[in-house]
Amino acid sequence: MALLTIQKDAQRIGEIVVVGPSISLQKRLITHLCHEVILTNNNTVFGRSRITHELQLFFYGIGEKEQYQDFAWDIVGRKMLGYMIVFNWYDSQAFQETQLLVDQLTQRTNAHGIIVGDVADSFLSIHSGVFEHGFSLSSKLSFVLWNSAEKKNAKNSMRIMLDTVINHFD
Amino acid sequence: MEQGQKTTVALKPGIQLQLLRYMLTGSSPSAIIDAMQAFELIPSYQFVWEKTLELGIRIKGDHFSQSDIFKRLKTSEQYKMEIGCAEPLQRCEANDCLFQNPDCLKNKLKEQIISLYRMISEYLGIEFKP
Repeated sequence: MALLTIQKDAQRIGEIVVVGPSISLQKRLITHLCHEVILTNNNTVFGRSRITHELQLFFYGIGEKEQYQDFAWDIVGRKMLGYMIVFNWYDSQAFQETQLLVDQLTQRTNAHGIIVGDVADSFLSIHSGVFEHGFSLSSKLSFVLWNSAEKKNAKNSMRIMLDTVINHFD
Repeated sequence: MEQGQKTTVALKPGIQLQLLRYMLTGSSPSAIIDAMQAFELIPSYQFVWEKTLELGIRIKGDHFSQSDIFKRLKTSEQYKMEIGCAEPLQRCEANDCLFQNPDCLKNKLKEQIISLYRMISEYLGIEFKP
């Protein structure tokens, strides 16, 4: 999966798979999280976020749902740091697809994950303080609302997912 | 589920997500609850209860007390009196009637869950749409 060049001194890599009904939202989330993004012509997106010279996060937006069945979850699922499922919070069809997707993913992989609902399409009457820390669905799965119009929100989603990872440290 | 099997099942994350979506939009969960079996309602109630506590603490902070929730919920004793049930109170409190009378258990938990949703809407300052 390592399509991005790995520098010799960058030995630690965390891989995060990004899925969801909307390819454009996958792209937007990865773009907000990474300083380096590659868009391919088969609707997949690769992004790299350098934390330090030694530690990097790679994001893989795997495109349309037809590709999910062919995706090597059994191989990638064991070594990935986590997954992010992104969808439009106001789109009922996308919500139903997300429900199915999260049920499938939690059966296929034991990795940590976060479901990210984008609220940029409409005014949200709930104060952001209510949801900025996300909601835990299990010890390895969280949910958070994200305003894709604001870049800092994406980092918040990432932070919540990493918190669940850290909470599982021995 | 048959008698003798474990009475607690894990709630699918897709269902948890649906319950959460209803909470944050002030929607009634009646439709999804009606479609559930009684044994699925036990973890659903647990999930909604936890989220009510979580939201209460986040929104009301130090002014939040768990007793605020209890005050608004019907006790098992009240529920038993209303329906004229002669079974011991402990059975109702422990949801022990799951196999003997699943419909009764379902009605009790549905009522409690709807009450919790009303509270959540109040905490969030949004209209609850029954």
